[in-house]
Amino acid sequence: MPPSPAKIADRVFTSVMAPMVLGGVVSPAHPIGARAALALMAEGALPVDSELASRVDLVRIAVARKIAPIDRVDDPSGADWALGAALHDLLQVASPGWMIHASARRLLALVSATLERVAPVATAHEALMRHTWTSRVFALERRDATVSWWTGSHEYRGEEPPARLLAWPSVRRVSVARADRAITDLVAHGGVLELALPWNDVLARLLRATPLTDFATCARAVPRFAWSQESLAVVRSPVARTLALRAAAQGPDDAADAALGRATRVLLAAREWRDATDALDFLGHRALAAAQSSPSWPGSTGGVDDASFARAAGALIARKWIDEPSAALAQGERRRLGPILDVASRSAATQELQELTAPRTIA
Amino acid sequence: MLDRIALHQTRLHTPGLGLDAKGVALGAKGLVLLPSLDRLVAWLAVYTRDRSLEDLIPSLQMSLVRSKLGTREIAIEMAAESSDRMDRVADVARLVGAFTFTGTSRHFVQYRDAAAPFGYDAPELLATDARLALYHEKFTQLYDVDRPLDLRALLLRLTPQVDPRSEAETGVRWIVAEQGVGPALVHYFVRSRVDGEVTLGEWPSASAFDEGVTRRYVFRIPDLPKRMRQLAHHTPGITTFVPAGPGIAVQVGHRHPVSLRACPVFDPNGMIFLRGGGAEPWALDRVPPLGDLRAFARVEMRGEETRSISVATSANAPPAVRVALRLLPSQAPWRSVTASWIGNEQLPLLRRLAYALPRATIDRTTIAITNRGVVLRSPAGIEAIPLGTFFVEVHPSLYVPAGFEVTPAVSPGVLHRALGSPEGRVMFLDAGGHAIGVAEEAFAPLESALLEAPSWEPAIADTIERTLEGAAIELRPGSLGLLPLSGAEPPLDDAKSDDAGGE
Repeated sequence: MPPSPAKIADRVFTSVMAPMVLGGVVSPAHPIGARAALALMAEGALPVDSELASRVDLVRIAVARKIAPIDRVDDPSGADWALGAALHDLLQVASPGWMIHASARRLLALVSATLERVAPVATAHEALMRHTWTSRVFALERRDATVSWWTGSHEYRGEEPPARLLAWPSVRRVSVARADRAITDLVAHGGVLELALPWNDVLARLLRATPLTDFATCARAVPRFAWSQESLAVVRSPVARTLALRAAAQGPDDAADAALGRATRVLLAAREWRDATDALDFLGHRALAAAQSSPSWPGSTGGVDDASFARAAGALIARKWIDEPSAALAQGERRRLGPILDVASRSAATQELQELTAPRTIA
Repeated sequence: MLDRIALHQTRLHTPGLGLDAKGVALGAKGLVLLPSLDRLVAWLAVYTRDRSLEDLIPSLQMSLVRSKLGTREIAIEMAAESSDRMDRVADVARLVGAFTFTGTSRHFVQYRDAAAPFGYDAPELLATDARLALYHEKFTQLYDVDRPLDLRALLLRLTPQVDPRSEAETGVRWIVAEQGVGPALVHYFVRSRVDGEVTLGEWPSASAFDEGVTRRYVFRIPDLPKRMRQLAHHTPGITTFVPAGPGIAVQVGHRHPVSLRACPVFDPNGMIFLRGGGAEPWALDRVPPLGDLRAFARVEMRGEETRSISVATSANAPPAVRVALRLLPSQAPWRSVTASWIGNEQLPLLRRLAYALPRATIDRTTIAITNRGVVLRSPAGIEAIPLGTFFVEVHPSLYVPAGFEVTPAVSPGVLHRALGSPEGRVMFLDAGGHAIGVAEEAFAPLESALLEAPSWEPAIADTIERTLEGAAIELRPGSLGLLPLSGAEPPLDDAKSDDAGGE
């Protein structure tokens, strides 16, 4: 007899969703599967522990107010439940307890199937609500401990070594080496190694389902940020783009510029002009905001790396905007921003942009 | 002829000769043959220069020996004990031109030297009744004992040599004064506050024409003042001696050829005074009890006709001699300027100066606030705060203005007592001689009194930031169970398509 959706929802909420917001111990257990997750999405649910839900909401408001001035958050939607269940199963795929690798592979496929069926965000508000659940996904860490003694050693992943193994440390020459594993290193340390790359792809898919989190963590090393239809849809909306700009500003500037520049280069190289235009618009808004906040922006302009490309492309776009009457900028502001953007747009990376956007001749 | 003893040789011809742990031939005794008395004195002088005869004395026998040829020489016999002792004895003997032998009763062979590191053995022994048969590499000689020599008598017979350096030596002096000079010397010492002891020694008369025994005053002065040495050394009838060892002293200006301190042959309860110039020593078999010099001071008594005691019939208060305390300017340099009195009118200046004071000065300064101003104290000196009237601490808890001195010039302790020695109060005397007492507990650290507590407001930004940061998220994966995928189903549409594909 499978557990009821309400029980599954309670388990997902207490073991994954709430600690992902409040902090503490995330303890996924028996896999949920795609069908149960999608059932949650369809039927919806409310947290059973109202006190815990109240505390979660307070912190969600704090997270949301870093991006937008709102005073209340919605109850978890069906998509939120599905994303929570998917994250639950995704973390279990990286569990070191798998005896049959094929089972882990199948569970990963189920997570992927769940995520494929989660509808993209339709409004900026919905994007913000999803972000409040997943904003700290890269803060999740597993604490591993390797216990060595005179005759052997054993590795404990995400659990404390038993006291009997730590007894008589000097006599048994016991040493304990602890290491904190980031979420992207879970599979490589104790998981099914062949699933390391697919697992990251599914994590990227999860991030695409919550685009503001995707922007907020665009400076991450793995999985690399890439423009997706979901993220592009966000930047096409002026309101959602503002939220995305604020989310992207939460990360380190250089790494975020590098990630956005790299992703935009890919679009330009693939000659996806419509998507590339949206991406360049986003870079233009980002460059304009940076120029307004710092007269010394962008610093060095000689490089041709991804970050320099993003700044140069953004500056080039923004330089055109400030001359347009629809930009609604004061005359003094135009005069102040013009030289800053001129300097940035005359960098070495601008030439590359012009080459990428030049029409190709058909031989 | 002697045979050199080889390494690991075990059989020796000389009776009583054996090999010690080092393989050195050694008998029970050692013997030093000295050609003359002056060589004996030289041997004693050199041997006692850096070591004592104490370990040799119990077995030491000195004798005048005579050979068959009639030559007289001196033999010193002692217990050999070990080759280490004999090596020392032989080294000294070689230095003074003597020979060293070893043996047990009658036959003595040459002790080892550089040519024979393990010693010598006599392959052919002389058949003789002589007391000593000495076998040397260069000679073999028989000796009979002419007469024994007493070490103590020998040392006493030796005339001390002139050595003016001993006059400058410090320390205990024994002074022997003739009977007529003694009492005057006693009073001289008492009058001069010289500590010492004195006794009266008796010596038998040197001649039948003398009347009775000869008495002399014997003084023991622990530290004779330098100014009196000339008198003690050169006054006829007064002879000064320097202790040369237990029970013996040598006249000042002379030195015994042998280190007497290394020759424990004199009775420590007696005293022998060795005189220079060939004079015979003065000996006291037992030092009579010594009395403190002050006990022999001259006493004077009032006449018989005076009253023995005068009793007061009434008592009146003594006339008052007290004078008022005054403080007068002094040219003496300032010392211990550790307090300053700052009047109320100067307090604004102190407040302004507080901003310029270094940390160390503020840290060690204490302040008392009174109705007449504030008092600052700093044990390391108050000059760092150039304000107010400086005070010098002349006594614990008693201060006088710097540049002034108290008249009459009584000691600070007396002054403090005159003020009543108030407990728990620090007394300050101003230039007019008025005393002001400040309670000790009124002094508080300057740093605590200096700073007005600034108003503050709590910074809540950090609190908000910490709240927003949230706690760390730790992953502790739970158990997958025996059948991890039981209940984990694919989406319905996928399942239907699978089923359709299957059909």
